[in-house]
Amino acid sequence: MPAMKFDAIEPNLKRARNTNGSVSEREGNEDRLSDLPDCVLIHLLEFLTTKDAVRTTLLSKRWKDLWKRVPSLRLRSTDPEFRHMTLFKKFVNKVLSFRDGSAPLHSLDFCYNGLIPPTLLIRVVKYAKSHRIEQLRLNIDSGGIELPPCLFSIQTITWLDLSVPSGEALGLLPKFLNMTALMSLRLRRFAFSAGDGELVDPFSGCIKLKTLVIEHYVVKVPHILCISNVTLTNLTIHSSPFHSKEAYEIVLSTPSLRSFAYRGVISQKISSKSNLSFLEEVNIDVPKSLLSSRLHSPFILISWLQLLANVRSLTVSSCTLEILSKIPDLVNTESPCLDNLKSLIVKVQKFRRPVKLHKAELQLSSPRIDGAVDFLIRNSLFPEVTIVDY
Amino acid sequence: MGSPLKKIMLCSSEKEIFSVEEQVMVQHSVIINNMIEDGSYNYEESKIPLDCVDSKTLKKVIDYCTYHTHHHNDNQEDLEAWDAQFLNVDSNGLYDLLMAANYLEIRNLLDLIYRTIKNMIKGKKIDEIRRILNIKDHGFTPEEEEQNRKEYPHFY
Repeated sequence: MPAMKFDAIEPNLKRARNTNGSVSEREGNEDRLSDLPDCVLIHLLEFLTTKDAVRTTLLSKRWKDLWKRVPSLRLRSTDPEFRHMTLFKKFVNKVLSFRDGSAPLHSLDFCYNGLIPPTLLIRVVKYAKSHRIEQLRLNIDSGGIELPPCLFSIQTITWLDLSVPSGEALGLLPKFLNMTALMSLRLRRFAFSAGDGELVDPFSGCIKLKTLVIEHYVVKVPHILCISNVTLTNLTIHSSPFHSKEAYEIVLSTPSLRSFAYRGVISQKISSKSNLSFLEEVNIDVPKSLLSSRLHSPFILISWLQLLANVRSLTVSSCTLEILSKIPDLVNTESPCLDNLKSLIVKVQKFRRPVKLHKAELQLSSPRIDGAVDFLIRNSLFPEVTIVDY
Repeated sequence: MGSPLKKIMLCSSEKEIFSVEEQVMVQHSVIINNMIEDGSYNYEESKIPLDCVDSKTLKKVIDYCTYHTHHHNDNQEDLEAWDAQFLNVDSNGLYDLLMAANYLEIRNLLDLIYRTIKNMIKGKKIDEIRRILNIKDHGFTPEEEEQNRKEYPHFY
């Protein structure tokens, strides 16, 4: 927000409010908010959804056109007011038409809950592009839509969050992302495909990327997803069994990586081309709902742990330990070298089943979990072990 | 960043002088931080004139900055409870604080106030918002107002 300087505020204070020209009493019961400068009121409108901001046009002449210059748009069809998508479509088109096109637009949050007409999506993306958008979230709920290719050529984006419809048809990411300003990227329900290449390596061109989150994705032929990025510090991967039917491999080439979080089925190999010497914080979370998946492999889990030589803080769910404990002769299996481990946090997921089962299961699983904890910290010097509920 | 024990002088619209730890204001106010950094503040002589901030408001602003400087490590819940208590003021007090926070560019206080006002008006009908914000003269002609009410009856 452009800040007001010292001398700019007083004329506003002294401005007469009443139509008859007299200066209002300061302690009076007058409309003092409307006395504030445009930039303050516009910033206030940024805190509202676009729907609520647009509505302030009816408040008074003072407010009538302010929403048109708000530098962020939050267009969400999930608002109960948009009972039908036709109402929401009409609303979006009106906002884009009536908004002051010369006013800057920094962020756009667009959520569409239904089968989106491609023309509307293209209009939204083009509007964002022409306004040199910096933060963009697109959440499209259904339909076999394709994202407009121009989306991936918006060079001003620093923060991008894309969710595409669930189902068999996933969003297809370009083989190579050339978004040089991008610092934070979240991709939900995307397919990685190299076409006829040897592997798919989409992120190496994002030369400022710090945070990458990929969720519910598929790696198509040739089944190798390479995450090469020199600047990346935080990586989060969520996989779901539905999307990991076919075996694939993840290769990391991320020398600056500091934190890695994984949630899902432990079935794919992860290897690293860099030594991950900065990787300090790791979270491996097998949720209880996925514990019974037949895709889990305890040996793959051990191979992951072997990458973590410098990790200082490791968080695992109790189900992750359950998988580890499936190794028949865990006591005599070589432990991973977690030499620098200072803290091991075990998250025990609360049971939602009847108490009887809960107790029985706890008694059953405790010794196995203890064994897995011992296995993990065998090579570490005095790590602190904490058990928390979640 | 200022040194911890140095004091600076702030002068309210009633010409009352407030002496505050430099670090407290430098951490929170972009304007004061800039003044200290570019050397335009003279520790021997300067008083920063805040002609549009009255003493009562300035005292509150200083309380806010002081508390958040010394309690920034507290847990989020405690801070939020303190903030809620801090903003338990009438609408005039709230606008005074908004003006002062905007003037001094105290970003976290501004955001706190914006969020509070947002919660006051979120999801409300136009007539209610007008009452809350004390908008008595909407400035529309009777015809325009009637037209709006006709077109968007569910918003009023």
